[in-house]
Amino acid sequence: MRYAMAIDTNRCFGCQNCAVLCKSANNLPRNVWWNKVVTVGGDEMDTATGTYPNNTLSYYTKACQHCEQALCVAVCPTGASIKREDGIVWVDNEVCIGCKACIEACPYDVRTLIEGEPEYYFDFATGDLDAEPHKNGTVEKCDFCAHRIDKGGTPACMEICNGRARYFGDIDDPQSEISKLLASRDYYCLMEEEKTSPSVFMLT
Amino acid sequence: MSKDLQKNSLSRRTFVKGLAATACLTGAGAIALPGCTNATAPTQEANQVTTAAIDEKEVTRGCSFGCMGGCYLKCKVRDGRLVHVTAADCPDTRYNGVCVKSLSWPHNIYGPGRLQYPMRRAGERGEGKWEQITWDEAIDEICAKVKDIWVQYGKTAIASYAISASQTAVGLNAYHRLFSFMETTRCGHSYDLANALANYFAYGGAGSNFCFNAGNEVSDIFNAKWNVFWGINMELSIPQKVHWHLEAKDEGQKWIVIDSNFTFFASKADIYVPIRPASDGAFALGVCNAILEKDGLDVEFLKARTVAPLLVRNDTGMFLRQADIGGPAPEDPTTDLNFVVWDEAAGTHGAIAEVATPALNGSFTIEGIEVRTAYDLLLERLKEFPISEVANICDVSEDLIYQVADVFINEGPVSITAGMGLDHYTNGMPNCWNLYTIAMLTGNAGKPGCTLNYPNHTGAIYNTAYTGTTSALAEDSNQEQISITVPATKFTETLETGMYAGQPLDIKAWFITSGNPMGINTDRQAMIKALDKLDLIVCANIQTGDSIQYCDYVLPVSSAFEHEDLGNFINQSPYAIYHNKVIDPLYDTKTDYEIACMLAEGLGLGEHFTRTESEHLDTFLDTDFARLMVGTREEFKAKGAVDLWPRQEEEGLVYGGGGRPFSTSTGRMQFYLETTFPMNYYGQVWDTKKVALNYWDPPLEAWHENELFAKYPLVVFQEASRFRVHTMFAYVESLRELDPEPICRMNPIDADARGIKAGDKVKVFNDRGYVIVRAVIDGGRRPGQINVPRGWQHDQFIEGHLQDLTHSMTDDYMINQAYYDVLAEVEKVEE
Repeated sequence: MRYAMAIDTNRCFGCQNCAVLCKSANNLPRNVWWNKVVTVGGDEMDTATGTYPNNTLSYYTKACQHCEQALCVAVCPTGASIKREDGIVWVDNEVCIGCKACIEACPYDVRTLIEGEPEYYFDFATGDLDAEPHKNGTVEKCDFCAHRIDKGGTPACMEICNGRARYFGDIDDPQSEISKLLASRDYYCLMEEEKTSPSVFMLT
Repeated sequence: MSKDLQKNSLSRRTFVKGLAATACLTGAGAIALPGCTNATAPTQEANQVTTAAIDEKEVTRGCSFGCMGGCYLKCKVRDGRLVHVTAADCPDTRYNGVCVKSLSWPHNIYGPGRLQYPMRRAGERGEGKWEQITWDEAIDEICAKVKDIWVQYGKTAIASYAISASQTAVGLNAYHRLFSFMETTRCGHSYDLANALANYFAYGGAGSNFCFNAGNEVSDIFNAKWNVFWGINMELSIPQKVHWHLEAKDEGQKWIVIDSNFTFFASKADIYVPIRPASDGAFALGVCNAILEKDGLDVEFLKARTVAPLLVRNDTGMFLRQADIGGPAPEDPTTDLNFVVWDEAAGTHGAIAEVATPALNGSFTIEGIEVRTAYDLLLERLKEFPISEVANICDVSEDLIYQVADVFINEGPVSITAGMGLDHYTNGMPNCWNLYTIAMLTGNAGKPGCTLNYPNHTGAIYNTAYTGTTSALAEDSNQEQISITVPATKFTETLETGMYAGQPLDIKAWFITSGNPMGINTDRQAMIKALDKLDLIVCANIQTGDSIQYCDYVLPVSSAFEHEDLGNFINQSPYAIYHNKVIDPLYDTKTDYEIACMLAEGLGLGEHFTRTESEHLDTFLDTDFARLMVGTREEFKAKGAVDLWPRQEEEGLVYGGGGRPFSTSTGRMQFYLETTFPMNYYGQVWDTKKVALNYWDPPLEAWHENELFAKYPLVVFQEASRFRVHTMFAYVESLRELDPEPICRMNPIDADARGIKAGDKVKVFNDRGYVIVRAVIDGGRRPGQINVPRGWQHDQFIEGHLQDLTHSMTDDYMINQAYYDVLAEVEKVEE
């Protein structure tokens, strides 16, 4: 069993639904975003590159890559960052001491240290009642909504993608939709030179 | 707020690619606005299951605001609070869709922009000083002032503005009903009308009812071999629809993108036309000429489905009818379709229904009446737009004009998806109208794979007579309603002069019961000045905003999620959606219906508001069509979303398919109109001969040949933001982390010429006003056109306001706010 995600980079147009769904479902504190949209173009969000009118502009989304060779797990001094049997890289925030070793080790810049008491928008929690709590002095990130997976669900970012660009499933199962896609489409992974063997694939 | 607080925190911000790592508004926490929550960053109990009994449920409803997407939402409610919004499953899940705004409804409901209690102004208008009052005080004082104005100045001295924003059926229409009985002067919205009216004129959408565009059903898009995206950036404005097009492209569809802005869709275009802003109508006429030159006409379509063979009387400009030449008089002359055409084979005239070979060309004298085919008139007009000149006007190569023509001639079926990039100039009408003629000449309409614009038409099932939505007065009144509608583009002038359409019209009060005219209407500085003429301004809204800042009384409204409703009458999906109540009304707010009832009671009009809110809702469903389509209210509620599209019919997905007439006045597609009328008439004179036929004029301001261009050489475009709908959602804190502050997107050429670098503070200015924002360098902007995304409120700009740059000029025929028809200069502001 290896849960994985595929992002169709021809379909993603940066609508931000997945980022906002993740934020709501996981009750993320202010300024914490586990899943981010990246503009492939100019230097800032939604800007094109190249000389008008021969420009280019595309998008992909970036969160924890749930690497098979997870550098964060390797460096974690407390065993808080673990690789689950289903492939999900997960942080046990009862054990995490916020030493930031994983943040330094991860090449993807997708982990956030909660510094101080987390600040929220409302005096009630949004999203899933059983989402991971957020704790001062711990590191957190996308966990493929493990609390949902454990109940047979799928990650919140899959709820509604306006480009129909996202796929999620078990790539150890050759019959899964995502396995078939990866068998038939070209794809790449982010920063392949790091040899982390990510479980997030960018379809081209 | 903390305007200062916010400014300071924003100025600390550094631009970082992507988003969220950005440390904007950090810690400063919640924005605090008058009448809104004054919370500092709230604390939460750990979101762990602490008790066994959790009250959690899911409720469906439609989204409610002015984008008219009408998306079907699933709302998670826990302990009485809205904690998550996502897409509900439509009967056909391909229609599932939401955007980041609808996902952010909890922020709109519980966030800092929400108005919580009635307020009376305590300082000068716009100063931001308020005192909290009770509902009784607010209603009593407002009604006393209205009655005084009625006595002194008459009923028309009260103006009303009830548009868009909340987009609830019960609430919005309660105000329409109230204002009908108050006999107010209506302040028209005057936006998006060129797009809607062009669709109406050319193709048969219900344009005058605003945005009820005609077209094929959305799923028909897969039948198009090519799709033209013309002046639309749906990636930002209607993202829930984008997947249809991306899927069609994956299946081999090709794209033409005609847009001055390089968009995401442009990045995928097979042909990209980087057109000069506001020249689109000329481009369309150039393509028409290329079609003629290449013998690309679909003659059969022109004869059977367009006005081309109809004979235009030289004397009146009307089409020749049987009744003109001794035939029987029709029962209703306004719908007389008994046209006369010239029978080419027989060499004489005949009734259109009986002539198999109508002539497309020729001048004739029939029974003493001189006529000419409408098609000949078009050919004559097209001669004014030779391809070489069109290429100059549009600043594109002639080759691009021929390429587009070739697609329409040889590679159909072709669909066209057109947007407000064509509409928001003073020459919006020809920009929006002429493109239909390309489809007419090549037969790309009334067939699978040929849709022109998006259809949306759910409103037709509802009864709106009682509610006062229609111009006919409410069914239970004996009064003949004569309401004056002053278009937004003339409202300021009317306030200043006390005159409209050559008649005295002294407006002394303004009710703004939904919408935010001070935030979204053009020529804001002039409007602010004119507000001095008003003795009373009342705003009812869910959220604070620019209009609230200038009013005397604030009436806080319960959000759409806090009551049951039928939602938008206009959806971009084929579904009628039942809007369930999601949460109880919050704070000291009331529903729009309750507010309308209270005002009616206070003004002695209570007898017209005897129905309960629930009975009022039932009234909408009291039509045979509604009963047929959605059933009883309980049945509608149980179904949630009901498909209204007539799929059972043959070719049911195709508008005008199977030879069915188009819904125009002639039943045919129209490049020529027998009668022309402006949306608002105030004594102006327009060139009927010109505007009856496809035409094109340069825009009044944003044009390189305008003298003003020497001083202000940059065209100011205002992109729709994916994070706001007009000004709605401007105060959603989570979205502000992604999109923290107003910006000006500039091509590097324009930036370099002015010594401007990314992140610089820049002043965009012209003679009307200025706005100070941050510069973003964006290679996808057309040199000479800058882009300041719209929808920010005054306190979010560093200084000034985007709408201070805009004007209220229109041409005399097309009365429409021309947001993009603006010239300005940009300079760096030293920090």
